[in-house]
Amino acid sequence: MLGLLARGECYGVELVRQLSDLLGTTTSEGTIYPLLARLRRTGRIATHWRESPSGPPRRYYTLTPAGEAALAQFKVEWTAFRSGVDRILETERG
Amino acid sequence: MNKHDQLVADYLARVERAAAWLPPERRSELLEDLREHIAVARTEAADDSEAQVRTTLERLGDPDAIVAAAATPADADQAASSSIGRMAIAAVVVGSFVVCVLAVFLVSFFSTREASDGGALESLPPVQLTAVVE
Repeated sequence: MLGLLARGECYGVELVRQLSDLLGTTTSEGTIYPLLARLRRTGRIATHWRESPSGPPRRYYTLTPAGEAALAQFKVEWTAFRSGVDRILETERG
Repeated sequence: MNKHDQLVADYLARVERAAAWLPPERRSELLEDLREHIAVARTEAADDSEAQVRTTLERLGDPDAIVAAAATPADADQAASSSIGRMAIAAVVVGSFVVCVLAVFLVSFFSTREASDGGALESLPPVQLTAVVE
């Protein structure tokens, strides 16, 4: 989620759509809202409302500095984890 | 309220029931987020047909699954501590009952003994009684 928001601010429906496109169909799209709420409570993302030319105003989600730091930390951990699994499964890419 | 709005209201009511155990501010936050998602999805859909609204709600998913995603480790701790709390209250209630029964028993036991002690004193021979006074 933080990785998606690092690409630029999004509103909820957009985030869900991007997740579906990138990860395949999500089973329960509504489950991202409790996650977003938790990230908001822990200060990793911020929200602001913006009017839309069509329909109701949208709540946009953006990454905070704390969110950027958490994402950077996760990238380090993920890279180490992935290379560990690659070594075990011998799936390293040339 | 048209039929589509009714579908949305029914769905949100199911989420609200499933989220009954969540703290009120988190429950209303979740409902607000879902309400907004549905409103935006309906605006951006090709049409606002009943089938389209149903698809939006189906994609959002089962209310129980959404609410389950809202549970945090803190909620589990809270649930555990509240059950410990209930056990503590039960222990205090049972404990104080036992103490009361014991107290009543001891008071009646000693008052009976005092009465019989008094009786024993009276039955002592006069010499012994004088010795006791001295």
